[in-house]
Amino acid sequence: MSKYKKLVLPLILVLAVAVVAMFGKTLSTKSATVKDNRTEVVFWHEMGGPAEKSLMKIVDGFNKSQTKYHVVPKYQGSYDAAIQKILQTHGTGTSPAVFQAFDISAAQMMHSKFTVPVQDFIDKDGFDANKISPVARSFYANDGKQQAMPFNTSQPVLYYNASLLEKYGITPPPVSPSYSDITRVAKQLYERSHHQVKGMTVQIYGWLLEQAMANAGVGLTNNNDGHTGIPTKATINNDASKEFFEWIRENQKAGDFMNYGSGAMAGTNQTTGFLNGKVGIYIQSSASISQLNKKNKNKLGITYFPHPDGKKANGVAIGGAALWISNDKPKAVQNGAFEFIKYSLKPEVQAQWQKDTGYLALNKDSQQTSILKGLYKQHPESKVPSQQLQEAVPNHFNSGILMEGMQKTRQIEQFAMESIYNGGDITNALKDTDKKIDDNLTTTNRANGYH
Amino acid sequence: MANIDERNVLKNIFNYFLLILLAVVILVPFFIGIWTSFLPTADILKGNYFSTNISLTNYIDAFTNTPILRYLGNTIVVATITMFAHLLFCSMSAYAFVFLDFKYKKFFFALFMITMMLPSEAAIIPNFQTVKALGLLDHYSAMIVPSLTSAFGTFMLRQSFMQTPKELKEAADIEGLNHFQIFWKVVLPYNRISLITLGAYSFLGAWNSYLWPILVTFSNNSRVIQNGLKQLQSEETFNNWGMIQASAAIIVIPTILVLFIGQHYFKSGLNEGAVK
Repeated sequence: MSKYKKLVLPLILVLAVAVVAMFGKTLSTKSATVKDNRTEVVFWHEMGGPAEKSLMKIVDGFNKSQTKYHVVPKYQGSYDAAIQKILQTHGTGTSPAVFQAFDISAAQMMHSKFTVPVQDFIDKDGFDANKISPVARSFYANDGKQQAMPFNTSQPVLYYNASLLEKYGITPPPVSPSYSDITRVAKQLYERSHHQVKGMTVQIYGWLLEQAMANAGVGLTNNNDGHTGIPTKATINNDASKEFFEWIRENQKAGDFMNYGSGAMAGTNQTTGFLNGKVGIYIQSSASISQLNKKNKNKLGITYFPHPDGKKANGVAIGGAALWISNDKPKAVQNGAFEFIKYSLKPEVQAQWQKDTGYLALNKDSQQTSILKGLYKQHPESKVPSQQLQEAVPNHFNSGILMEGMQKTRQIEQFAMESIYNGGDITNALKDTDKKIDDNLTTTNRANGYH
Repeated sequence: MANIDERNVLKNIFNYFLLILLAVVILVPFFIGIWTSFLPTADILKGNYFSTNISLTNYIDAFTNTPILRYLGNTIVVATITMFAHLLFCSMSAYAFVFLDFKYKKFFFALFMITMMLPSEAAIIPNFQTVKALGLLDHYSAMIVPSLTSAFGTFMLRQSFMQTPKELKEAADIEGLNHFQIFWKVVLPYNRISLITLGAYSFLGAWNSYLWPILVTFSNNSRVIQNGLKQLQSEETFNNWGMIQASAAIIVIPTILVLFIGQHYFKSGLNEGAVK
């Protein structure tokens, strides 16, 4: 007997593995399923941290209001990873009924044919989409058809340290500043603080370059940024982007420009620099406002994204993510998904969402709610991003770039920004960028069989 | 004589100076991490690292406001099973490669080694398709089954088994032990140290894996701890860095425990010898 005794342990282990492999699923999901007769709508999202908590409030609110549907939220990791998971699990039991996919994946999602256009549900339901911010809607629309519904939405805005400006007697920039307005403030801040405070920074982030072009009313690619056909050629080498970079270079030469580099660390570092009063002006997503308002001793000032001199601002595109409905679920589940989208866009829900996270409320009626009125009373400057969103009239150039391979494009743009910030020739860098994006577009379009 | 002493002292001072310097370089980021986990986020954001506002709030928040305990439990299950599976399967295959004679032995061993050349990230797409076809997505087994064995483990144990003295094997053969008995009673006890090393290595590997689990898990019920850490961060909005740092500190504790326990066995193993 004793010689078999020692075999017991490995046997148990093998059995344990087999048991877990077979029953792991029931074990792992048991605690989650609450038995009720409502139709289950699986919702995939990428909101981590405090934003996830705010999102759970929306989901709970929906579930409490419903007798027919029950939304099951599931966090999926980063925006990028989630796209792959959505595409790879389509048609399996694990796939979601409604999911959150980020701005630059819009073209990829649309071309995947894995989704039902939200427009179909809007038409059937008679939902009044005009209440929802037009510039946000146009980002996820194609051929006049709403493909997805914008959800967490932000726009780039310019933040300035109002306390520092007051201290040095500098006139604040206007609410929609031109490049030279910002240059003036940045230079004055740098000079009057005796070079203790840097005037401004613009992070090496492709999104900001794209927004500079959007605000000048020019496209990044042909076919009107992909809104009238598949993009085949990049057009970054244009006067608007040159003007944007010359603006940065002018400030670099004056010494008031601070370069924090690229990547997530750069974002954190510039926020820290701004909160510490080491840099006076920076451009960042309007969603950062919740971070800047947390125990910030300095007064915060906000303006629109700056525009080229002597031109009217065209308005910037939105960023963030939208809610899409998958087409691999039964009709009843799809309807439940749309009910959830409708709920998430209610004026009060959107207002609370803006207050909690800093993402902009998309429903026009949200501005009249007591929640946002209270917020504006407490932080008057937080009204500025909402105004910027409302004022923008959508056109092809401020509705995002409907192009696949945007992740790669961002990298190429950042490479150009880096070389220009380090003193490289602007025109050459932009020409090089166009060429690299063209190459990438040719490969992507060929791989997708578009020509 | 005095001269030699002086030189020794100088040498020692220099050695210790160098060691202290290296220790500082390596340990300081770690201590900053631990220290910030006690600070409120507002202070961290402002770079106010010498704040005296220290408290355990971040740790309490991490345990009460996030499903981090569930993630820890999931990870322990996955990492423990992976570790035992590695120990069992790798030692069995290593035994075969060392003590058994069969045709094409070298060829099969080379095949094993080739899989080691391939980074596991390269196999993600076929592995994902396989797991999906088996219906294992969002399941503990999706994280366990693809990593039940490891070519590195086989390689490491094979090298170690080859050091087993021939006399032991011969003595066992004379005693009339069969292969399973030799494996269990002679080879495994003799190579205990390598097994513990491999066990610790496998456990930590499974504990720290990030990419594969984030792709095959879809809900909080099966999520592992490294992905949970990512979940604590939001994409664009406010982040509670203090709590994130506290969670990172909590996650490190089990790995340190494993290393300490492993080290203890490692020491006691060295003092024993099978052949005198």
